Amino acid sequence: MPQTRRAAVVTILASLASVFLLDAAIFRTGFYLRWMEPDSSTGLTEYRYRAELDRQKQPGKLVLTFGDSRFAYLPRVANQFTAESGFVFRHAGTAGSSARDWYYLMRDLDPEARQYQAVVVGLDDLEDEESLVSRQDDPRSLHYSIGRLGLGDLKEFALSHDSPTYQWAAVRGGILKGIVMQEDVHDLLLRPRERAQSARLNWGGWAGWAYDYDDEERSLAGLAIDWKTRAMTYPPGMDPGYKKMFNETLLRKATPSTGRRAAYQRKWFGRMVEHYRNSETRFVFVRLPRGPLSPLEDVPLNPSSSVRVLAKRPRVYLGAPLRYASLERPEYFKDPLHLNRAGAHAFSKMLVDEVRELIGPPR
Amino acid sequence: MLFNTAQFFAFFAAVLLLFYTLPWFAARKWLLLVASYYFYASWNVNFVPLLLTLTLVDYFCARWIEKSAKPRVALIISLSANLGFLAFFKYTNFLASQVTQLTGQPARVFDIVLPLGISFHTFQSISYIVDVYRGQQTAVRSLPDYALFIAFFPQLVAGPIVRARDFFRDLLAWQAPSGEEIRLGAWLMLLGLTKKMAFADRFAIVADGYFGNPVPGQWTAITATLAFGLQIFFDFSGYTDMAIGMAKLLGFHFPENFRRPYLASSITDFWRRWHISLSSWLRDYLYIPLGGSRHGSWRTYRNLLLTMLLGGLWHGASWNFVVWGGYHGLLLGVERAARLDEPRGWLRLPRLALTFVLVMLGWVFFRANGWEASQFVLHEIFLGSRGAGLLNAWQCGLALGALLMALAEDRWAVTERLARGPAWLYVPAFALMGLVLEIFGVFDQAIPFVYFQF
Repeated sequence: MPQTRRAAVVTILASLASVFLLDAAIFRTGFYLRWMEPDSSTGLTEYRYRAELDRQKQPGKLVLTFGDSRFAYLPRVANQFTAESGFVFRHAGTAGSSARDWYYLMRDLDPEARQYQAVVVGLDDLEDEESLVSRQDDPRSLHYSIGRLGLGDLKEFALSHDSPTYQWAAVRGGILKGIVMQEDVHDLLLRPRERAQSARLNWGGWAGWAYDYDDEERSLAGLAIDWKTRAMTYPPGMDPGYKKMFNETLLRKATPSTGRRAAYQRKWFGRMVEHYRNSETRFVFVRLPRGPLSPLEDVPLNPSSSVRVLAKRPRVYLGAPLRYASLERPEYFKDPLHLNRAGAHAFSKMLVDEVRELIGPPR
Repeated sequence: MLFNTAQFFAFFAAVLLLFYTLPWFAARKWLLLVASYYFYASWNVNFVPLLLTLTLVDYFCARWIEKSAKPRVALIISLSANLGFLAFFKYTNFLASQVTQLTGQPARVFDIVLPLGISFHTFQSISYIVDVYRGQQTAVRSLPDYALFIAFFPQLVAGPIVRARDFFRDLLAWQAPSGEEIRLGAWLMLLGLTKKMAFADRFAIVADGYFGNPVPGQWTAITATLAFGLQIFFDFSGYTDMAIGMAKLLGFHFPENFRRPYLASSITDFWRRWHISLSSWLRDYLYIPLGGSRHGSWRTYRNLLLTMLLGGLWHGASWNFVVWGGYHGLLLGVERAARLDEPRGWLRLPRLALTFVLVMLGWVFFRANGWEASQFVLHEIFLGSRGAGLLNAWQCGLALGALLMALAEDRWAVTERLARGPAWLYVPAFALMGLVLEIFGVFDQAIPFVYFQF
């Protein structure tokens, strides 16, 4: 069948478009979500997204929370106090995620900015202390957000990375989502039967299991630090590798601020707050318990930190920096960063109280 | 600027756009020349003078050969320049290390960087100059045209080794590609990219992991060798497909370089299908000048062996490549002595399997880091304890899929049919291939093409 050059060029353009359309049919329509593994970064975010959309259909004055793994409160425990507080707590944060990922999830969960009484963000620091890893160039971010990114988000999302390598990865993955979901697809091809079974189970039960989750009981009882000599006493039976990790985490000196984290938080918390500018939803930043042992000195107060500046806006609240200092005890932690079951239970109750105090009763 | 990077695709898109925007073909040729030198300089600008020097030497030598009554002097100058540079850059340190081993005296080791594509453009230049000397090719009048023949970016780095008559036939009577050629060119680019990123790079991860540090285990060694055999095929044929596809889009026609070599029914057949432009070059400029098969059996075997030994050495300065070439030379000799008929029908299968196994065994010399590593891997393949396989289910699926595609191509010439067929067939096939690339492509590591190091 002879082809004119023009027809050939049109065919090639149509072919390129068809690559995008096929990807879109599989990964943008929700078709693949049914098969996705909830233990993956993308899967976890997408399961949370679906669970929260389902929850919005039920009555209740919802408070949506975001944070990483350190924001270890348990909505199930917090909601035992709904009768007193009036609020139903829901958690949409995931381990390892950060403000950029929360923004896209929050935007899609509440496009009209009227679903929630409040949005609460849990932070390990209110002073813009630098984190050990670059928030801007965190490769996990693409995986957390990929399900939520539309073509219109591509430019902003890509340019929010500093490194051209990550910017390109974001553009590429944003156009062809299958590239980002490769590992999940490979796993699906490797064990299709188990994955189909897992999908059937998770599709129906994941939201309930996640809500009913309870933390581990193990604690760090016995952990102590002599801050003068910086000598650490470890809980009995701790192996040397774990001791090293404790030293590196608990005796770590504050990383000097370079302004990178401040810029990151200003941008993405700014976007989150802006989303609710004309709505009744309140925005709350709380500072999480810092660790199993209160440090000798806290990070110096930064009056112009990103969250302090945002907290000057109407309907934006900032929790007290040391509100949870009473939880900074080895008995309440399972490792140098994360609360254990007792800690999570105590924290959940205290969080409800603090949110209620800051924003008042439901409207 | 690797072919499998966004940077290269942006470069190629810009070249393509400008090429068809310029109204005069003379300007288009200049564009291709400038783009080719830019492409070369983007790797290492320091070697641009080397490329220019060789181009000038060969250009003037060819003119000299054509005009002179004593053309042999010009031929020797050109061959000396080409082979001299190749030997210096590629074999100096190898020779020094051999001197050290023989004499026990430490020889000086030079910090030499191998210029990109030198093995390929040197062979291309030699074929041109020899053809002019033989009177089979007229010396090119235009220096820019000759410079473009040597530096043309789609084939500069790793071939195919294009003969002057083919290139200048296209250049001097250039015609815009037909609709079928445009479709075929785009398809070959996608196919090549998929072969490289979704197949070669996936198998490269397995092969590199093993050959970087071989471990005991028969099944481990077998699967790692198989992974390398698949990697090198997909890597090189992927590159070639892209080169041929790019050339087609620009109105040039490169020769076929791979014709489903793992479906060969003998080693002789394998070399008719594998790196065809190199094997035909070796035949025309080495085997036949050595006497070919015209002077009796023993001279024929000697010529075969010598050709393959030098062909092996062309790949790299290491005894492993020489052994690999010698291994293939021996097998070719054995096949010639056995005078085996070409099997037909199902009888082809055992021969096909045997050839495949022999070729895979040869790759051990090609890939292992040194002689001792080769011995170790071969020992494990034949005598090792069982060990664990390195290819998982979907990697085996990729290999099987590739085999089916090769069989389909062999039987139905799928690529040609797609290019000529209706759009409703081409578009979904393109989309499916794109999906394979998307799902299986290695995007987070820029794994260089294997043949770039030669």
